[in-house]
Amino acid sequence: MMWHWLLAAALLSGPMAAQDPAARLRAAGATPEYIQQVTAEFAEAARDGLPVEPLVRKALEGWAKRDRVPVERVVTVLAQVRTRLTEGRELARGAGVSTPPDALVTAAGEALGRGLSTDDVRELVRAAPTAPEAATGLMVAASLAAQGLERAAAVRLVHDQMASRADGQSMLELPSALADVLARGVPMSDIARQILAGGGLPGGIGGPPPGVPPRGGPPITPPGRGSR
Amino acid sequence: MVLALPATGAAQEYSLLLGGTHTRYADSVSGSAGRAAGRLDMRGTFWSLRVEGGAAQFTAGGMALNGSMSGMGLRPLGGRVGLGLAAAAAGLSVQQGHSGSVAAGPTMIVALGRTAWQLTGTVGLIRDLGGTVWNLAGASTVTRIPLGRVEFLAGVVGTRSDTLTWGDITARATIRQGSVELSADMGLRAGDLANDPWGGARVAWQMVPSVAIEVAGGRYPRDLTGFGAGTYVEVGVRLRKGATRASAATPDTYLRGPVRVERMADGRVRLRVPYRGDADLLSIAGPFSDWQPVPMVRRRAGEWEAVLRLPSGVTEYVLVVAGRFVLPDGVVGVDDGLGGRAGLLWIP
Repeated sequence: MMWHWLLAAALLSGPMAAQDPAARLRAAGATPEYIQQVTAEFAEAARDGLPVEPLVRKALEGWAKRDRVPVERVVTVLAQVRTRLTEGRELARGAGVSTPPDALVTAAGEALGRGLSTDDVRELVRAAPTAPEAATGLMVAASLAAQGLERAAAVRLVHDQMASRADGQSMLELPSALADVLARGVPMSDIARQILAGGGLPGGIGGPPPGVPPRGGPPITPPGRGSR
Repeated sequence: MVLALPATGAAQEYSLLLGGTHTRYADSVSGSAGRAAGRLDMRGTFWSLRVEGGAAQFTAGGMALNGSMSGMGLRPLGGRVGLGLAAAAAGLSVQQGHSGSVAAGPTMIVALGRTAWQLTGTVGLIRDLGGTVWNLAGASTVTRIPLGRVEFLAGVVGTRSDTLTWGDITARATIRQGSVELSADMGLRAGDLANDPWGGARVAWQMVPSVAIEVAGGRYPRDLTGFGAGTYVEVGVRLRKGATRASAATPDTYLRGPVRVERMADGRVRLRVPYRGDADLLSIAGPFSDWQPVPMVRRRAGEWEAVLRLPSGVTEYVLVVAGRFVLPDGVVGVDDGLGGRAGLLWIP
């Protein structure tokens, strides 16, 4: 369980997260005009009770990429991030977490930004035993989708991992495990098919706990007699 | 003497320029000339050397031979600072005599994000066409600022030679678009030897990797070797052999394969990036550094390394090569919402 809290802390921490956002932007060399424009978005988020760190990070990224990104674009993107955070918070509440912690709101917002649907987010939050585990699961599912895994399969894989009560480290190994399977030449479509059939990743990571049959069929291996 | 900061991307290149020029070298050799010139560019991670030589045969009968060499070696002090030596020499031979110069001195380069700044002090000698030898002492600063496709170089040079003192401000902008490179220079001088501003432009069209058409023209300033200010127009074909020049190969051309991540025994995370180019500095940036470039260290040929304190989880990143944010081919990335992409790293 400690893993999830550590991950939740990581999700919210930048190198100097405790520092004033304007000071961090100044330290990065941002101009007063830039700081003024983006901090207006930070203030708006804080007023709404949303985590500010994702916006600070995006503003720092926008400043670092200022050669090709005008400040107006950065401000627009910050507003989009704020909207996704609001949506993520509402989804978490709707899934039963009455007071979602900042880490979960951040993870839900980022998952929406990386292509997970509102249903996906709701499903994973509901399936997670705790809010920090939900945050980890959302982060991993979004990463799997970014790797090219079909969204439904990404969510299913994380969902099954949660059902198996895997720890945060095992959850975090899923993207690397997927990369390994791909490196062995297994087509993505085959991987998705196996995951959606409840078989986890080819090679044995993810999926339901040993002994639990996919699709409700008879156990392949009886509980207590080894894994698949 | 202004020593350009070492560019990135090129390892070594031999080239031959064949063309024509219309200029005034000296009163006795001016007008149109056929010209052949060779150039050798060599560059390592912390050193660079350029040697050039050429001959111009004027239609009026005179001939001019010229040669030059410039180079520098640096010793890195941390990821952002390099200290070393810079040296340059040049010579010219025309019917009415020979001139030449040699200068050397300490140099320091500081990399601040994508901007690099160089300070050089030099002492040397100049021999003018009449055979008089002048001593020379100077200091220069050059700042390189890459902004997207455009690279700016701005320099300030102060020089003293016996009783003469003058200062130059120079600026150069280079833009690369596909196979075409356009650069424009200008300079202003104050003090002795002052005259009108000078400037010029050069266009190089890389038709194929080994052949480029070059067109240049402009005005050059008076110097101590005995030549007055003058103008020139030059057209030529440059034949190249060796590594692809920086303008033709983008920095990310050399990035292949994923970043390897390893949690070390002391809890820190080692990141290894496969990079086959000859960049002077490769950096990584992400939310873990507030998107400020963190310089990497070249461990061996084709691999750069950074050791960072990173929490477990997923983080975004980009690599910074020659001031550009790039991602290796084939890595897992996400839309950054800002019109580009960021890579994803899984930190164990």
